[in-house]
Amino acid sequence: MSIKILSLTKYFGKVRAIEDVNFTVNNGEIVRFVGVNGAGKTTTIKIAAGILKPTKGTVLIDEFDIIKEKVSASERIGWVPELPVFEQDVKVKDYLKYLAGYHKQFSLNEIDRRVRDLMELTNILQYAEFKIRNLSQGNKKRFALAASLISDPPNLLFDEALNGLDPQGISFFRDISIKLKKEGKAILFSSHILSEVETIADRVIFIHKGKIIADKLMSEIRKESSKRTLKVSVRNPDEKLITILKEYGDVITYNNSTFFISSFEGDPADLNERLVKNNYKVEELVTQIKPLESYFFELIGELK
Amino acid sequence: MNWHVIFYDFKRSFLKPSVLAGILLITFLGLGILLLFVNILSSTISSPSARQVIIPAFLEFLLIGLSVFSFFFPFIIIYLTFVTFVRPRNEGSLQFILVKPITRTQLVITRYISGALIIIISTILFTLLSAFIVEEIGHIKANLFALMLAIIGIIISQLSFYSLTYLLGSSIRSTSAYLGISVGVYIILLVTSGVLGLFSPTADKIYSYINPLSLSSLIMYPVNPILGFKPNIYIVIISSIIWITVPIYLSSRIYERTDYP
Repeated sequence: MSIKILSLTKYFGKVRAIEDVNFTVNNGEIVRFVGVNGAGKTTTIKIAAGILKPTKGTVLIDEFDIIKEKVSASERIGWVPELPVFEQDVKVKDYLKYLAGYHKQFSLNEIDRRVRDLMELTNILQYAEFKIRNLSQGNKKRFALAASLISDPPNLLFDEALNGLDPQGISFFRDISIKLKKEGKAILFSSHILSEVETIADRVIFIHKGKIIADKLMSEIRKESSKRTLKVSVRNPDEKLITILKEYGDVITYNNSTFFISSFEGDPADLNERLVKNNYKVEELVTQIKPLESYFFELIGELK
Repeated sequence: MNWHVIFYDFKRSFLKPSVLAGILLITFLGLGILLLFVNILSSTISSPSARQVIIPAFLEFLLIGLSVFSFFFPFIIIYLTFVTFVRPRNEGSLQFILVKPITRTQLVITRYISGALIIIISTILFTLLSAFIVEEIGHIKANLFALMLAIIGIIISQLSFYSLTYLLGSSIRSTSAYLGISVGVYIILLVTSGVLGLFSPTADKIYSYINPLSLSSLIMYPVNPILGFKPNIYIVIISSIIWITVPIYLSSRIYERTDYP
């Protein structure tokens, strides 16, 4: 049970959107799909959702081919886009019932019950009689989530789902993602902001210019990101000071009195004590943790 | 075929204020003109004339209302394709349907059928109301055979044109271009028949078979031999089937392959 992206390539005319994209999202796993705007995240997700057709390759949803076995594959996947667009002049409850009608396993009574349960789950029950056009952007996303969960699919695609949400909305999506993960669902969560759900992701896949550039466990990324940079400022620097600092990592001289030690290894308190013992007048000694965004930009060679 | 979805699409499209208002407007216009003619002329044809041996008086009156309906209803058809397929596709709302367990071809066919139901029901209701006016107010006895052929002929003509608008809708990305081209195609189909007849009766005869708007006249030939030639019933049947099925098939093929769902 999983989402398997197999050698996916997509051209729009002569423009290549993605090339030879391969990865798997397993059940009970939240995978972050990270890349800058235009990297190919949405194209990959739309192909996986059965909206676009690939130029080459395919996607298997629980081993059903999204191209050749579209109906069976689509029963097992849900999609929440960045900007959900629905037919606007329909009531929330009616449109959910309509969408539920595409899943033949539901009787009319079951559709009513299922729709009510989903509106409760996504906190939009009070908007049941509202027309979709009158929903806020956040509630449209909740509605899209309700629509994507109609058949209780074991696989979910969230495409920039947190964009445009207020803190409460982001928290709601994080919490529900954890709940769905615990139910054993495979969740692919795309974003151009790595820090958004770093706390809930198990794995991160980095895409850049249409190609996968890294597939890392979140624990690996945290370990690599935890390599600190130490900023040291002293009033009386000399050559001996640089020799001491080099014992702790790679030293970058910022100005005459300020130094950065990248990939700092050791205890900052020990270094401080040693500098004081050697009669250096330490003005500042602070640890700087590398943000996860920097990790990504380092990967794509655009260190910021 | 998912009838739950078809019924829902049908209900939603039919109850759209713009669609409903358009249908009601054409209905009142057609019935109003019919009523006017029935009131003025029915007394003059109280006894059978030589002309009524060829065209039954009932049909002659019925055609007054039906010609108004047939002339204006294609604009509703163009708009129906616009609201059920072209505009949702352009806005992106069809993408949310495509994630559901349905293929692109099934989506096109489902939406086509829901609109076709509106066309069929509107045509039947209008024709029956017209027949009621002719019989009850004009006191002209209903001819059930003529009534049946009129309903079948107009439905087939309208469904053929509807199928053509789906082909245009799946081929054209811009909503305004779709509307403009569809109206243009309708006007061309409407006027070419008359123009061809001026130059070559043979070409006009052949064109009658390949013009979807002429299918109703061909089907009504047994009760309304206005065409001047006896149509080949087999060619009429084949032409009707081709006009309804081929454009919608091509439409689904185009939609299956597009990168613009």
